[in-house]
Amino acid sequence: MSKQVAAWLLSELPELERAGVLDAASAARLRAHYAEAGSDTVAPGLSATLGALLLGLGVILLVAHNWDQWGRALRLLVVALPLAAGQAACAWTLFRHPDSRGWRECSATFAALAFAAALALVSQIFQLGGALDRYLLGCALVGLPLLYALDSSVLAVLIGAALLGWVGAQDERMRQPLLVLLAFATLLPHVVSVWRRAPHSMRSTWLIGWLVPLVFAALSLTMPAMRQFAAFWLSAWALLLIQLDSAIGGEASLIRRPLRAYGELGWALVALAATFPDFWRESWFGQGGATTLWQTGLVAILLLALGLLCTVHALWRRRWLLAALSLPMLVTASTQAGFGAPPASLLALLFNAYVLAIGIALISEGLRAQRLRAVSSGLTLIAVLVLLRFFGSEWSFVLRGVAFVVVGLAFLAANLWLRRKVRS
Amino acid sequence: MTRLKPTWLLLALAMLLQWALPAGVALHSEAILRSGTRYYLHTAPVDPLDAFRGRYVALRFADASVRLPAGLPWRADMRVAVPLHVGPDHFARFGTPSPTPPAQGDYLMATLRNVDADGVASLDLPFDRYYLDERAAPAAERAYRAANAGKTSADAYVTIRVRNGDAVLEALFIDNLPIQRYLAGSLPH
Repeated sequence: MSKQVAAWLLSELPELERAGVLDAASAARLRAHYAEAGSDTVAPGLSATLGALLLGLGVILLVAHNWDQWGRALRLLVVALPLAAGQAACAWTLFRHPDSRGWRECSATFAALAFAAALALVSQIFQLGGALDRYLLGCALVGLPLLYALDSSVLAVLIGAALLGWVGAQDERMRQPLLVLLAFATLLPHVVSVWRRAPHSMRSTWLIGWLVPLVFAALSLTMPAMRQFAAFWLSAWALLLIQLDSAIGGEASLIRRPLRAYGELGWALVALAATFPDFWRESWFGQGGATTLWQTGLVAILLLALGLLCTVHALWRRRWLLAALSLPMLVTASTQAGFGAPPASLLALLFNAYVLAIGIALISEGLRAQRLRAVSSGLTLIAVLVLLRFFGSEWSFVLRGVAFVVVGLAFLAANLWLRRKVRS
Repeated sequence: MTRLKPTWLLLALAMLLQWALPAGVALHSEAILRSGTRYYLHTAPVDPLDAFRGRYVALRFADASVRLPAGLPWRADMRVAVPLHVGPDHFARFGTPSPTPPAQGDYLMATLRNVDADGVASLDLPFDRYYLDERAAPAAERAYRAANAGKTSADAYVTIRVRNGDAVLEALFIDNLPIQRYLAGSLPH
């Protein structure tokens, strides 16, 4: 619905309420829904939030100068001013602009940064050493009530980044995967709430688009033992994201479906890498540490169980293509479990056939459902597979050149033909 | 208004936490500075840059390696109580660490950074930096490097205040002068 139509509908609500066509609760829900949809423009919110971020960072740098000639009391007062201003802005937002997303994002971001600055600068004033990991965790945890009070997605991403920083700054021996999962789970109610109010909106896409890699990076950091099972780890994540997207994704374009986009990227990386025999022979990411082994094992088993459950669910619903996407996870899990050396050449051959089959299935499904995106994905997948085989083979340059030209022309012709067919 | 109630409660909680943490740190540190016992410790500063907190002089303590008593399961990252003993030169020395605080005398709570095969551990002390005005920190570094290189006869030490195992850094001295006074003459105005 366009913004003009949404504005017209919102202006009609009081009249509809008076006439008894709508009750108050339904009118409130409509207001919330279209206010969210109406605020789906990036520029005003982005510039306001960037302004708040720059202002907050500027204040940090000004106070960080550490004005030695001032007494402790004066310096503490200066530190307290931005925090008080940030909190006042939050209260003002809730009091006067509760429906303005720009105000909510700005005031929450500024107040959170002012707090982070205050905590760091108090440590500076009293010459306290402190540890970066505890500082970042403190900033993240104290930001949580602010996030839910102001419903700020920018703050949610900042908290996610602070949590990643917390994990990164920790000593490797101290990192706990389950604790990290728990920490990121505190952001889940906000994500679900934003998604429910406006699925596929710019806000929810942006929020999920940032948080998924942050969670993935933080969890990967906590599990050094998982480095040697990187292929399983990546393929299981990719499968989960794809399955989650297929459960909630709908028909939006790929750019509005970050779960699908990340999932397909992860799946393609593992599936295409698995077409090389060396993939099955070598440990690409080296040996990881032996700390938190039981937690790593628990997370891995949990992932595997979830992946299997999703596969069974897809099979039950006769979604064969979706179920077939679990093959990289299943094969990497079984080969990396340590039951002897896997048959590398055979597995590479299997994955060549598998990727080709998935490509053909995508094209076929795209044609059947009249979806050009699926057709293009299938063609791209096969094209990348063909390119990889050319690069990985011992053929002469002339032969490869001719083959490239022939395959390229074939794809252009196929794409042209398919576009006409799908559009007709 | 009823619908907004949880939101206001959350905001109140956020505000409370945002004041409680820095205020708690400030009040606790101020109390130690006011009523803690003063000790002198020799240092060796350098000057890194910390984006969050401006410039500071990073402190190292020559005596921060201690021999651990045998028979206890010492490991890195373990929190220990380190007694403080004042020597004839009026400077403090670190005593033998123990897992629990001593019955008598002042002590610091520190962390064992690493423990070698001979049972010698280096200590992570609760103070490891001295913040300065960003203009003064590089000059402080130059002054101390000159002193360490034997170009001057300057000596560097810090005073700390200690109470119930907690310690707060009070001042950094070079050549028996607070660093700010020592540098006052060398900085352009």
